[in-house]
Parts: sequence; structure tokens; C-alpha cells
Amino acid sequence: MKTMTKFLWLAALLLAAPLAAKMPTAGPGWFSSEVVSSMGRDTDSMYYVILVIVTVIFVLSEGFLLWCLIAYRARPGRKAKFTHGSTGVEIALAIIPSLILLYLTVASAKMWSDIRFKPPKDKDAVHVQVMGEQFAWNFRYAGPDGAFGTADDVLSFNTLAMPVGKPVIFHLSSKDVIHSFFIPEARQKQDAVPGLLGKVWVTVDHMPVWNRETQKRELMEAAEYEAADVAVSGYDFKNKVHEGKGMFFQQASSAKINLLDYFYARNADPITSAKGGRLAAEPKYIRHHFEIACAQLCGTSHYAMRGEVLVLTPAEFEGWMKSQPADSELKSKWDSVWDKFHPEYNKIL
Amino acid sequence: MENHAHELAPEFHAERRNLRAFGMWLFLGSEVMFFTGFFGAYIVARSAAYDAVAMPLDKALGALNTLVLITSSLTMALAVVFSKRGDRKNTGTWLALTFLLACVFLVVKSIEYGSHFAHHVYPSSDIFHGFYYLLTGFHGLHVIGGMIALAILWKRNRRGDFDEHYNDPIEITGLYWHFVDLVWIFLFRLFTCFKHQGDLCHLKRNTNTAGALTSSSSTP
Amino acid sequence: MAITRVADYIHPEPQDFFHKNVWSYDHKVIGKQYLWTSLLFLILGGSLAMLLRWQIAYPGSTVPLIGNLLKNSFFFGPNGEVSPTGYLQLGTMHGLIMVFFVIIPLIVGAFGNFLIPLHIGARDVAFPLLNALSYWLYLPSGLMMFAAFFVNKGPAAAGWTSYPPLSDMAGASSGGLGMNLVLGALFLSGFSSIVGGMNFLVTIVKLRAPGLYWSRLPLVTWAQFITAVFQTLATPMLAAAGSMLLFDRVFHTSFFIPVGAFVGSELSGRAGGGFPVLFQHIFWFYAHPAVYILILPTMGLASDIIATFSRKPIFGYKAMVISMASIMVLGFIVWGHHMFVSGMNPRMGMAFMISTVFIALPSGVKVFNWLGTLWQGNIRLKAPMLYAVSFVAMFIIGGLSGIFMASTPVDVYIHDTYYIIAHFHYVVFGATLFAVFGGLTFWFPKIFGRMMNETLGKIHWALTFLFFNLAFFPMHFLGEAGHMRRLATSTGYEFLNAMSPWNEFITLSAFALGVSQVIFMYNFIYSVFFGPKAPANPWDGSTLEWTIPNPVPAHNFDEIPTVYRGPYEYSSPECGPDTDFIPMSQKPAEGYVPPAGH
Repeated sequence: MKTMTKFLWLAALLLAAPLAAKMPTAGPGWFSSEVVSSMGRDTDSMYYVILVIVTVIFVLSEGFLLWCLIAYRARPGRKAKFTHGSTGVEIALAIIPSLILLYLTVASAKMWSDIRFKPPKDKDAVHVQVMGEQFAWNFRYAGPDGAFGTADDVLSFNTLAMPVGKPVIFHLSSKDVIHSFFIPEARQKQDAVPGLLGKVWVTVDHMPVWNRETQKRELMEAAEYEAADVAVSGYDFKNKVHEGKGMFFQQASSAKINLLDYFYARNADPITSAKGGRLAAEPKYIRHHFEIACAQLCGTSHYAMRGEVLVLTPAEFEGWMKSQPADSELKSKWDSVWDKFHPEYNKIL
Repeated sequence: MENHAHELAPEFHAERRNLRAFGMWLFLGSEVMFFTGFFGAYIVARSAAYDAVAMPLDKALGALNTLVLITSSLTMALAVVFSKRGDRKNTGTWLALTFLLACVFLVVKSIEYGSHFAHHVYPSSDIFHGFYYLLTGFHGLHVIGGMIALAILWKRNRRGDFDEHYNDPIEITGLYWHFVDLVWIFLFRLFTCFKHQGDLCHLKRNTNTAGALTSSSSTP
Repeated sequence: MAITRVADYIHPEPQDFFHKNVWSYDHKVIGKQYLWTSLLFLILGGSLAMLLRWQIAYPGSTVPLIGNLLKNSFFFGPNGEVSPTGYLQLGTMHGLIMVFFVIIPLIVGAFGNFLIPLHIGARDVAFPLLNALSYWLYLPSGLMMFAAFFVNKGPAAAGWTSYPPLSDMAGASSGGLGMNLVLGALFLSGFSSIVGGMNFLVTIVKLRAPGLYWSRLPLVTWAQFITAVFQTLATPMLAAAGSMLLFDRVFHTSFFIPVGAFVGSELSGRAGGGFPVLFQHIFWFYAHPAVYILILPTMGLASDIIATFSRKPIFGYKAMVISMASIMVLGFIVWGHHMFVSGMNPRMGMAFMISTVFIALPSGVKVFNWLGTLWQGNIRLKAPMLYAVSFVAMFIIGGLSGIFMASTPVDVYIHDTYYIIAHFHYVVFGATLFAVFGGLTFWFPKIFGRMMNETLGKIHWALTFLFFNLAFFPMHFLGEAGHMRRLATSTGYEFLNAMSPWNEFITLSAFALGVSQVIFMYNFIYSVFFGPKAPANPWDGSTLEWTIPNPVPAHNFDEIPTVYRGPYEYSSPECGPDTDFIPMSQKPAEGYVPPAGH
């Protein structure tokens, strides 16, 4: 058995060695992305509070476990202590976690009611209907008249524009199967269910950009953004959906991506500055857009159901709304699906 | 399991009957949970569209079936009583009557189903009929299961398997049969307490329009 | 001499091969049947996971060895790579097989069947015929599930949770006949579970040996009892949900299809009027208790093993029982925490959050009690103990990660991400499966009359522990980054690009994990046939099964024992100076007075 043991440990080393070589090191994009809404920041702080609590419990309990295994290992002549437990310890170890859990419940309950029970009542809130389908996102904005199902509605396919600083209220449903409308940076998610109208809201309060030099994401106040040298593509916000083709290329394993190359590769349009005029030199910042992900299995191309969120200044947002082309195909989709079967979903608030 | 009746004392039979009855109660508990799933779903669906529903079901046939099943519970109970007395002849008679009443129930049910099919009303026609066929269908399957048990019991009784000490299978089948009857009573009330009358001939089936639980009615 | 007690009745022992090994009423044989069948399914389920991991790490690349052989069939696309539909089928079947055909049959069917009568001093379960029937419903259901792989359009592909409308409509890319076979298989195996649960409940309540009060029951048996309550009362809900889904698929009803539902660009053709979320309620009403079915029996196994190898009684036996009972009650009212973002009324979300946060409490109590059992013990770190202790270690991690999900606002972010996958694999693999390995090693002498190799056991433990943690802990990072579940590839999303090195690392760890299991397989099979013959009580255990000689006779006990003390009275002064244990059924010495408080 001795040679067998040696052989097995060697085999184990051979298995483990390539793993050690492949263990990733920390880099940008790890962990959750920068969060751009106050609701998102609250969620993150709740997460970190829980993380601290569970880490303490983890260290104490696993540490105690290891210590017991070492301190109380069997030795000749020792006998274990004959005890059935201690009611006092039992009660203490039930009360302390209860108090912690009670605190977590109360804190989470308050946050939950803030993010789900009462939609914002702002007059200038933007209302968007979101209709998920296999495998894309359809958006319909209420337009200047503030009502859905009217002629001035703005339709968009896979691209969602959101103005900074204003609440955007999403009216969620689906055409076919259950999808899930997930904006990671906003920490917001809800299933888009056919036959059910869901309502969630997000207020983006910072402009997200990439800093080309540090290769990191940054958040800018709206005023700061106006003053900075930020690259934006023309005024052509054509949607850039990744189709199933994306699946069949090998992804570089390095976490560092040359963002400007990536940006140039995705935008065929001339790069202009936010202040107007062509950029002479390479800009320090590049506008960063978010992605919409589908987080509920919805069929074969569930992995490709990606949308894009454009975070715009209020002025840019007005411009975007006005410049959206009237797409008759999209309009007939909304007419024949949403308006035909669920006209009651068109009520605002 | 072999049954060496001459080697097993009455206390043994009493203890084993206790075990089996307990087991049957637990099984009935699981059956309650099964039908609760359906009833719960039905309640959700109906409360979403309460006023829209009409009842194109024949109240008379439903009431007849209720009477038939309640009577069959009585005959079953009598069979159990006689088997505990060791009265083989009467046990067999009442078991057979229970079986026959169950047959009547199925015949009436098939008349109801038949008239539905004649009017092209199927499970897919609307959600109300989806529930109707689902619930009565599974209930019917349970009735058939009970009938198989009754037939086996009748045969074993004729063979002389049972006596005043050993008669558990009849008793626990009785428990099961009362349960099947009880489920029917719930079903009957749930499907017949509607505001509007209606009839199958004038049932309008709406495909993919709002207000799914509908049935137009032309009778007052 | 007429027999007056059910316990005294001894079945005539079968003589021929068929009645001894195939259609047997003996709980030990039935337990072994469950054991072998579920271990085979474990190999299948694990292999499916390996294919999944290959695709996640190397999207679109040809699977080595089998890819080119099987291109354009089963899960594979034209270049021998895993196709998108194939990926979903792999994930769905991996989940269904592991839950319904590996873990539940293993911990309830195998361990429950084998141990319950031995632990309570009975000759068999209450209804041996129904017991045989339970197995012979499970096996055909497993074969139905297996058959689903071979039909046109393949097996189910809508996730193990099978949410409609995706799972409801054949045209929505979720399989045709395959999905129906899967639903039928679940129906059969559900019935097997219900009958089995009922059987165990009656057995434990009614057939305990004299002196075996509820307060002296081994925790293995208590755990099986609570599990049996869940099985009997919750599984029917799965049957209800599955029946309605099957009706939708076969008879085109619309229980879960709303008005105006489309399949592709066309209307579904169904009448409508149904509710997709209704399925989730009915399904999770079963499936949440199901996850307690997946953990409770192994909590019992771990308790037995930890007490035995610490050589002291379980710390806080009463609290252990009360916490299991609380899990039983609370377990029925937390199902909505799987549905926080489903679109259900947020007020219901609030109610479920409260019950969910508090169900963490009994599990915490149990962890503290296991730690308390180790404290001041005399710990023998043999292979079963290594597995049992790592059960506790990884249950701590899995349980703590659950706290994040209980907080509804945080769950909004991590729901349907790899965070969830990490959580449940820590609990079901890290905790349950490790306890299974420990239990198999521990009770191997009683099941097969031989010992497993201790060194191989330790090596297997070390490698599995290492690679398991390397494979699954990073999934917490992925989930935190927002990496969604059930993605055939994540290369389409920019925000996930940075995490692809982790995906590769996890896959390599998973492969190493899979390879390490060969050691256990070899040890297990070799020892069944050639392992050293085991004495009756190799671990110095005090529960009733260790008082029986090896191999265990068909009728278990020559005489039904009488129980005089609790199950874990190790190191009691009653043992005397030379030994640290005394069997439950050993008559106390004349004039022995137990110490105060015991």
C-alpha cells in the first residue's frame, strides 16, 4: 500500500499543478461592477454588511472546528468528557444569531419596501414598456403626451436609453415565455412574465465612463461629464446586438482589453467629443454603456438575449427620443401583441 | 406476504390492522395534498375571473352522482361491519353493491363527458373546462383504482381469506373509499356553485382574447 | 405457539436467487438495490456536468474524444461541440438526475431502508411489500428518464425547474416526447417517494423496540422521520404541478398559458386564461421541502458519525430534535423565496423573507451542536470522520451564503446567477454528498460485511475536498459579478469577459474533481468483493446495528432487543474503566444509578 499511496499523491500533484498555473489573479471586472443608482448602492451596502457578519461567523466557527480537531485528537489514556450539552450555551447560541437575523430582516424589509412597494411619483419620470421575446428586448416609451399606445410613442429594439437623474419606470411583460430583465449595474432585476405586468424602477444618478489610462470604470456627476473630454460616437445609436455568432469565437483569457480598440472596432462612425467638434487626440474617457441581460432561461438562444443601455444626459435623451426612426415592423408588433391582448397594461401608474 | 392465520394470534391481527390503518391515513394525507394543489390552482383561476364564469354543467346528473357515491360509502361501511362479524356472505354482497354503485357513477360521468364531446367541448376549450376535466379525470382514476381494490377484496372474500380477526384490507379500502367520496363532494360543489346558468350548445369558446373564463349564456 | 406481536413475526427466508436479490421484501436488499442504482445515476449525472463545464470554459470547441464521434447527435453540434440546445439539455438533465435519481434514492432509499429497522430494533419496515414496490417504481422511472435522451428532439431542456410557458409548449424549444417522458418519470418516482415516506413514518412510529423512547432514537432515525413527513406531504404537490403541465402539453389546456401567448411569431393556439407564476407556486411548494429532504438525512448520518468518532454524546440532543422539527414546520412556509423576482406581489415577498431568514436559525443551532460535540472529545480522525467533519465545514459555507439570498434586495441581484449555483452545490455536494461518502464508509462493514480501505478513503477525501472547493468557491465571485445561470456561453456579454479565466479554472478543477472520484469507485467496488472481513463492531459504536454479527442475518435480531439508554452514551461512567462505550441494549449493571442530570 505504501507505493500505492506515493503513486496516488503524485497523481494528485499532477492534477493540481496545472490548476495552480491557471488560477486567475484579481483584475478589473471582478466582483460587481460600479453601481449607478442609490438603490444599487443600498443593495451593495446590504451585501457588504451581510458579508462582514458571515465572514466573522465563518472564521469563528471554522476556526473552532479546526482547533477542536487538533486539541482534542485521540491520544492513549485520554477520555472524552461525558456531557449531553449545556442548555445555557444552547440558549445563548440561539439568541445571538436571532438578534443578528432580526436586524437583517428589519434592514432588508425597509429596503425591499423602498425598491418595490411605491413607484416614484415624479412628474418627469420616464415610463417605458418592456416586452421580452425570444430572443430580444422591445422598448416603448410613452412619448411627450405621457400615454402609451398613442402615435408619439418611441419604439426601440434592444437599445434602452435612460436619462441621468430621472427615475425610469419599467412596465414589464413578455410576448412568449418568461424572461428576466436584468441590468447588473443598476442592481435591478425582475422576471418579464407573459400575462403579468411587472413594475420596477431605476434612477441612474451618475454617468458611467471608462478611463482609458487606468483601464477602470468610473462614475461622473452629470456636470463633471459635460466638462470632461469624453468620446461618444456620432449621433448614431444604432443597436449593436451580438447574435449567436458570438458563441463561436475563443475569448482571450487576459482581462486587459484595449478599450479604445474595442470602441473603435464597434463604432464605424467618426468619434466626436461630448462638447462637439472632432477629437484631435485620443480621449481620456470613453462613454461606457451597460448591458441588459436575460436572467431566466427562455430557450435555445437565452445566452444571446442581450440588450444595451445608453446612459444619456437629459438633453441627449431628448435628442435620442426625437431621432428614433418610426419602425413600422416594430409598431405592428406592439399593436398586434401588447395593445391587442393587454390594453389594460397601458395605464400609467 | 404469507398469512398463516392459524399461527397468528388475534393481538397480532389487531396490531397489524393498527399499522395498516395508520399507513392508509398517511396515504390519504398525501392524497389530500395532491388534490389541494389542483383546488388551490382552481381557486386562483376563478378568483381572477369570477363573474365571467358560467356553468354549462348538468346539475341533475351531478346531484345523481353525489347520491350514488354517498350511498356507495354506506354500502362500503356495511361491508366493513359485516366483515368484522365474520359474516362472509353479507360482506360479499355489500362489497359487490359498492362496486356496482361505482360503475353507475362512471356511467353517469361518461354520459356527461360524452355530451361535452358531442358539443366539441374539450379540456383545451377554455380554462374552466381544463380544470373540470383535470379534477374529474383524476377523481375518476381514483374511483377506478378503488374499484380494482374492491374487485380483489370480493374475490379474496369468496376464497375465505377474511374472518372476524383478519379483515384489515376491507377496513382500509373503506377508508380510501370514503376519501374518494369526500373529494367528489368538494368537486361537485366547486363546479356547480356558479352565478350564471349556461348550456353546452351555446358555449362560446374564446381563443386568445381577453377574459378567458367565459361562456356566453342564453338562458336566464 | 401463536405470534402475538408484529415484531416477533419472522418472514420465511427466500431461497432462490430471484427472491433473494431481485424481488425481495428484505429492507437490506432493497437498500442495496437503491444504492447501486443511484450510484450508477451519480456517474451519469456527473458526466453530464463535465460536458457542461467543457462548454463553459471552451465555448464552441470540439469536445475531446467523443465530440467527433457524436457530432450532430445528442448534445453535439456539427463540429462535435456542445450545441446551444444541447447545453440546456445537459443542464436540465444534470439537475433532474442528481436531485431525483441520485440524492433522494441514495439518502432516503438506500440509507433509510438499510438503517431504520436496524436502528429501531425491528426486523423490517412496516410494509415490506410496499417497500419493494417503491424500488420497483423508482427503477422504471429512472429508465424512462434515461430513455428521454434517445428520443427525437432529445430530453427536457427547460431547466430542472421546468417553468412554463417554456416547458409547456413543444415549439418553444424545450423538447417534445422527451419532456413528456421526464414528467412521467417524475410522476412514477414521486409515487415511489410518497409510498416510501409513508412506510418509514409508520415504521418509526409503531415498530420501535421496547425502551426505545423518542428521546433515545438515534438522530439518523429522527432525521429520516422528519424527511418522511416532507416526502409524504410535499411530493404530491409535485405530482399536481407535473400533472397540470402534462395536461397542458398533451391535452393543450392552458393552466399556465395566459391570453395572447406566442410561440415564435405565432399565437400559441391555446385558449389562455392561465398563469405562469401559478406553476412556480405549486412547484416550489414541493421543491423547497425537497431541498430539506436532500439535507436532513445526511444531517442525521453526520450526527451519528461525529458522536461515534468524538467518543461523546451529541451536544444538545434535544435541541437537535427541536431544530429538525422547526425545519419541518418552517420548511413549508418559505417556498416563495425562490420567487422574489418572479413578479409576485412584493408583499408576499416580504412575508417569505421573514420566514426564510428565520429558518437559518435551526440550522445554525445544529452546526453549533456538532461543534460542541467535537469540543472536549477524544477524536479519532478516521475516513468517515473526515467526511463528516467536512460536511459540517461546508454546510457552514453553504448555509452562510444562503443568508445573502434571504435578504430580498440582495437576492434581486444574485438570483439566477452563479451565486445560487455555488450555494446549492455547497449544500448538496459539499455537505450531503460528503456525508454520503462518510456514511458509505462507516456502514460499509454492516452492508457488505467488509471494510473499505482507510488510506484510499483518506486520499479520496483530501482530493475531493480540495478540488470541490477550488471548483465551487469561485462561483461566488462569478455570481457577485452578475454572471447569469444557464448560459451556453458568456462570451456575448462584455461585463462577463473578465470572468472567463475563472470559468476555465473552475472547469479544470471540476475535471480534477471528477477524476478523483475514480479512487472512491475503485475502493468501493474492490472492497465489496475483496475487502478484509469486518468484525461486528469495527468503530466501537453503541447503536443497535453494531450488536448484530456480520453478515447481518435476514431477520436482523435473533431476539428483539430492549433499549436501556440513549444512542450516544460514549465515555459514560457506566462503561467502566476499560472502554468508552456501552451498547444501547446492554442491561445496566445491578444497582447502577445514572449520574445526576443524565
